[in-house]
Amino acid sequence: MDEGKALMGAGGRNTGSAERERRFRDLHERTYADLLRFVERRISPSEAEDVVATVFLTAWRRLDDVPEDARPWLFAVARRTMVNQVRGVWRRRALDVRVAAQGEPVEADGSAGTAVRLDLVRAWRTLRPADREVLALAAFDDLTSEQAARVLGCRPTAYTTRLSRARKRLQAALEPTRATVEEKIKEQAWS
Amino acid sequence: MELNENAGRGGDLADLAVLDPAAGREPSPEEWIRARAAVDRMIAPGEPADARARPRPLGRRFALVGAVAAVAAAGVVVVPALLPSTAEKASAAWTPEPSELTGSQVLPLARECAEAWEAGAPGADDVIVAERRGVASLLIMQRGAGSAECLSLDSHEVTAWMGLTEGPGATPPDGTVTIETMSSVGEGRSQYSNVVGRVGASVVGIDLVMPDGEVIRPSVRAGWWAAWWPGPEGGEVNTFRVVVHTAAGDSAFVPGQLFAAR
Repeated sequence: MDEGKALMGAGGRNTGSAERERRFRDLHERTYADLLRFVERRISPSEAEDVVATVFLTAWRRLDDVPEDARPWLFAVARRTMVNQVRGVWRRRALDVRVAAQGEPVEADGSAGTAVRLDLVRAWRTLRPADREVLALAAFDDLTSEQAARVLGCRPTAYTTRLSRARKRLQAALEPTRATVEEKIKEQAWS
Repeated sequence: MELNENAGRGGDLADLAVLDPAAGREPSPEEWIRARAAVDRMIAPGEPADARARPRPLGRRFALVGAVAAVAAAGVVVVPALLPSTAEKASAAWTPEPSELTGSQVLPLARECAEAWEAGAPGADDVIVAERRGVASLLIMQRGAGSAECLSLDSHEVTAWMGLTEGPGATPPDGTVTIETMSSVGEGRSQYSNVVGRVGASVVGIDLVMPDGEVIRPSVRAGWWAAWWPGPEGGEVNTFRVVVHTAAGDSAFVPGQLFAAR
């Protein structure tokens, strides 16, 4: 079935309520965990369940609009829902993507893995929320450029351009740290 | 090469995956039960739309545009988050330990908070937490069964507010704490974080330990705790620790362990 084709029964548009319910329950079972993760990457877990439920209510009402590749469609609805919720609260300025360090506080413990994570966290914090969003859609939400573009409501080429720029800015933010580490290694080697 | 296709993901994107706050996150059996029950309600005919969507009663509400517009129409400059310039001013004078406000200082702030919240004239008993850090004051107030948080500057030029609960809420078990809400707002020097939670009996104090080792002392009073600080950590996941002090000793948690179940 084409990616953009709406979720329909085998015989085309199915108005039978039992078939409609079956399709919706199947959609929910297939996508609930992914949608919960998508939402929890952007708002606190205490608020995520309400947003997810709101998204599925929208999907139920507009079931014939939900494409076969449902995740980007659901993520786009979730994103709009969160933007509307956070607009006007503490996080007034932009929906942002959160970061974690494998469930542990980000603290230096001397290990190489921790150092890499700390560098990434520092670099991530220097980026604008818009850059973090395009990076997260690829790195966290595991979407292709076409899927990510559907979430953001832009053309795939526009998304690819934004991703490329965000990656460059991330790289630039990482460079000073990496350069410092390399210099230290060089100094140690000569001392 | 396509950068983010499964077969060709760039190395920097693969590196970033270690920061994924939802890595390995799977819904719990209880979450599946609530989610499927919500689906049953959506499908069931005749239920109000709101009741269909929500997996459980809302514990807190955001300050939405309608409320802000209503207050703005009354001629008061109110925004639900501090403006960047105001936040920068508040952050410049911020202190990790709060100071208490006197009764005469609290009442004008309580009136401003209640006005922004459209909650009617407050009394001294309506103020649960009142603290000052530098030039900014934070209040948690209750009116009836609801509660809200307000942040304002000495200049009274702005009051930011956020609804917290619509009902009395549950007090956590003895010696434990929960987080009701945690977030950050802004960018750069105007970025600040905010956290509000509940405390059970026997909790004598709380410390927040930031990644750089800085210790922030939240205000703890009447079953609530709250703090704000310059920086992004409130919008991140588990990048600081919450140390809970009781007579029996100290316990450390990451925020993800403390979010209140509703």
